[in-house]
Amino acid sequence: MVRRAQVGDTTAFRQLVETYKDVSLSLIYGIVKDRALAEDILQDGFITVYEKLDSFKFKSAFATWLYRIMANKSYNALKRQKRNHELKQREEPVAYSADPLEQDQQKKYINEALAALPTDQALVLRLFYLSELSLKEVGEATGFSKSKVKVSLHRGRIKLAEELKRIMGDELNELL
Amino acid sequence: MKDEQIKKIIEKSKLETSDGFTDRLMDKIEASKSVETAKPWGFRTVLFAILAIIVTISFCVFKLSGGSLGMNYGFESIGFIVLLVFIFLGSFALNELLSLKSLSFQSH
Repeated sequence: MVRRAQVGDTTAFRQLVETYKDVSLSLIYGIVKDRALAEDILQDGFITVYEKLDSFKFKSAFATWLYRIMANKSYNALKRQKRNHELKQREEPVAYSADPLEQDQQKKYINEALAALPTDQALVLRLFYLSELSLKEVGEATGFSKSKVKVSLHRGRIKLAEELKRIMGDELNELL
Repeated sequence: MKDEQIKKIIEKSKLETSDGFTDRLMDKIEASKSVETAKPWGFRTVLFAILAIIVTISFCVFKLSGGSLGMNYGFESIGFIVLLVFIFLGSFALNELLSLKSLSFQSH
């Protein structure tokens, strides 16, 4: 599919978008914590992927390469936001409630718990469990060292469990 | 909490793009593609065309003026061959600079 997209097959590129868009959106959202901005970054990210597709030489998995672009764009957007003093406070309710697609209560709780984690930990958790990348690939996608990936994963798991327990209380048992 | 439980939980957190996201994206990509193909006369093409015309005219003038190595039209001090060499070297240097510039834009 990637090779077909590289020779200009837009149908193949569309399939790539369909395959990776939701996981990419989740990763971006985990960093910027703003739904509308996350979707803008996702669109911009896919345009960059399309423009740079020729430079992808299959030295790593396509997903790793793509998630690296998305993560870089998200961190850059976050820096821009911080510079402009527009960063929303973590305590402020984030954009979940406005989105009808996220009405599912469990999804809301989980995203709240993930949002309470340090950004790096949430990103590593999502890349490892949601994108199903290996530790090495998570390192490639984020630019983190192997030890940082391992530590973030370990601490992220513990913190996520704590946050879920805090937010959901006994309801957590239903989730498991 | 077990590894499988964490995986199950994080999978539930997956977000979905808004309706029509892929269509909007593909429209944008198609539009940028059509803009790219609609401008066959790039700056570099025009520049090289102008240089080629200058070289051709200079060559014709050189032949018509009797084929002497010294130019009779204000370029007495510069040999015609030397002038041609400078034009070619200049165009190559400019080409390299433009390539570097476009590469640096791509990397950003």
